[in-house]
Amino acid sequence: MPNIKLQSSDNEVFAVDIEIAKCSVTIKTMLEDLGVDDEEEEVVPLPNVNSAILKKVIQWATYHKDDPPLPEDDENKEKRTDDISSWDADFLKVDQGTLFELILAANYLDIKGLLDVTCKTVANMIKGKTPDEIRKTFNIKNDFTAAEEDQVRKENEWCEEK
Amino acid sequence: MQSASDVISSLFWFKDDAEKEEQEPQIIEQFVQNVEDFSSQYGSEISVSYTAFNLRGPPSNFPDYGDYPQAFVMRTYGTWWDEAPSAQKDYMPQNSTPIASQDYVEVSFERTVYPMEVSVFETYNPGALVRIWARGPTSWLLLWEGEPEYVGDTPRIFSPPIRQINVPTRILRLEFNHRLLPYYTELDAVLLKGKEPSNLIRIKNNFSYSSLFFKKTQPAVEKGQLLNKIMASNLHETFIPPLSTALKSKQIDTGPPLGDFDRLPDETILCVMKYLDMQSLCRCAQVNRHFNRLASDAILYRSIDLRPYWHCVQSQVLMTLSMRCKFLQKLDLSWCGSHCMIQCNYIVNFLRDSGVELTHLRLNCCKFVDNTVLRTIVETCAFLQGSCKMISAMDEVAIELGANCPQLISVDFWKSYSLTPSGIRALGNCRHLQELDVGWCLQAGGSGEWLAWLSGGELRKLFLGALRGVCDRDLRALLPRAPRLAQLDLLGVRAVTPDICDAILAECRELRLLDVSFCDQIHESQVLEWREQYPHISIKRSFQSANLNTAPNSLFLAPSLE
Repeated sequence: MPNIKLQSSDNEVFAVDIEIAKCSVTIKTMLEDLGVDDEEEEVVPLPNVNSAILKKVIQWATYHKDDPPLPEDDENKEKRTDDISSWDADFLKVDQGTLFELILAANYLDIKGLLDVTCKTVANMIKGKTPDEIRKTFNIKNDFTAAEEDQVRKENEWCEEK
Repeated sequence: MQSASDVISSLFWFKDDAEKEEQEPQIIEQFVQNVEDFSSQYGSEISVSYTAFNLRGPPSNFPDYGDYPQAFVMRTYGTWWDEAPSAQKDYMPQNSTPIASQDYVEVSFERTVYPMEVSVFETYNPGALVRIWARGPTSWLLLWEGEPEYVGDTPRIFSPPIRQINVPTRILRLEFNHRLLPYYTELDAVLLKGKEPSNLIRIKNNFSYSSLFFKKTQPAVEKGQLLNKIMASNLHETFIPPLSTALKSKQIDTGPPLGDFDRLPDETILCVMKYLDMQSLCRCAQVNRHFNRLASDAILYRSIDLRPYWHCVQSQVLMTLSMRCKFLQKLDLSWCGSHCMIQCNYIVNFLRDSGVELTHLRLNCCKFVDNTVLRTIVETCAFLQGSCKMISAMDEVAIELGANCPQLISVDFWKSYSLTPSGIRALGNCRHLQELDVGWCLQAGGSGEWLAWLSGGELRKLFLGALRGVCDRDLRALLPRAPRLAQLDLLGVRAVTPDICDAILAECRELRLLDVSFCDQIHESQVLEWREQYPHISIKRSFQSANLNTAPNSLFLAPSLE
């Protein structure tokens, strides 16, 4: 199996099967554009991903290496959030900081499957919470003026259970 | 589920008490006075058999169990319709909850009460009830929701524990999910027990309906038990739910304004929000300014489904949504707008502002649809790909379809009384037809010769319910040409014999559903044999309990057109 070396932002180098690394569209394009020979022992620097996160990403990509490609058509994509596999659910039992780092990494590396499942996980953390609970969960500041808050409440409280 | 003994005990309590204390609010029991609305019914507009109308008044079948035309029956059951080529996908699957409603019926009672108990008399395949709503003066209140279940072949009075509300009502809406059921569910009656508002004139009511039914089937409650029940019951007090104590949110002074989301680009936050249901989006819009802007982004409102929110969609909601719906393509407003919750002019304005790019529009059971709304749809929505209308000259439609739509995959003429064999014959041009429902098209049912004209090569579903003229010869002619047939409904096709069914079962290798209810020439023992021989095929046969004093088969009256 030809390997490729990935270097994290904190300079740790990971040797990864090239086919697994290519689940990242960013890496795949990079290799294609640079015409990197499989035989060469090239090191790909990933300045936006630290070693802890890169390790998790490689773990995810290794498990999912044989997944069928996801449909490109965004409109028909499954929008349910209750279909996360048990492996993924276990994999994503991480602290909130790590979860958001994984989203950033999946976004930067362009790994659609990982981006989908991490976004779904965050969506599930939002679902069922009140605006105040959402603020507390994610440390979001309420910057509405009292009048604005009143206005947005009036506009958006229609679907609350009575 | 509340047991019969609970009901008895509360009744006894009421009787004892009513004699002692005349000042207490009167507790009354009432059966349905009127059926206000429903999403589907098996019966037709020209007969009372199997219609929602049958929910009125006291039970007519209970405690008999089985398929009787005096009950209310909805159009579907199980997952067969979801498996058919015409199955409809939700426009906003993020909204889906574990308890999805597929059908509803809205009933009214004579007197307004604070509801204490709702009892649903289920006389065939019980278990589909998932929600009970009460109509207050301005809004709907949820009294109960629960998972659908399959209970088995037994009649029951279902009285789930309901939320006590401090709003009186005389209108209930019941929602159903019949996905788990092996065949149609039938409902006999709905009993509402409640306390009359004390300022109303009281009518002394010592008669209790439920004692009639429960005494028949249930043993008397033991003395100690009864006392316990009385002690436990809390009926004296009108329960007022505690006001939600709105905690003043503490400002988070440290850290970035978007907290954990701060490092994510807007585009990625929108990726998260794409998975949110309508309620969560509305809550996100209240979090802060940045979230408000993102949760209102038109990209999240291209495909919206307001049906799950039918109970709270008011005219004003359309105005709010209109600002977010610049790219709206699919809209489901089904079930919305009852009790004038949506006014016609609001929907017209909404469609003009946001409906220009609509490709899909569902308006099932929408009371606000009138000529003005239809005209607006026709004028505004130039890209609409499908619509449904009540048409009186179905033959012309069928002939046009046959002539102009050779690629037609699915057509549903169920209960189109104006459809005749010449109309169906025209569909012979549709070589890719996968699904044809001509059940109860009684003018087409004089003879089944037109079956020979159908192109069966890709046919998956064929519903011929109540077409009495269809006979073995007609089906015989179709069989070799329809190798992929998966669902065949022969309900009430009286002329068919066991011979042709043998052939169907043996030759249609992909068959999964065969309905032979009310096929008089096919005996129960034959059906049991087939079920044994073809365990992978669901063979449906309705059931009537043998000890009924009325003759059920003679009551199966297909409405006559004369």
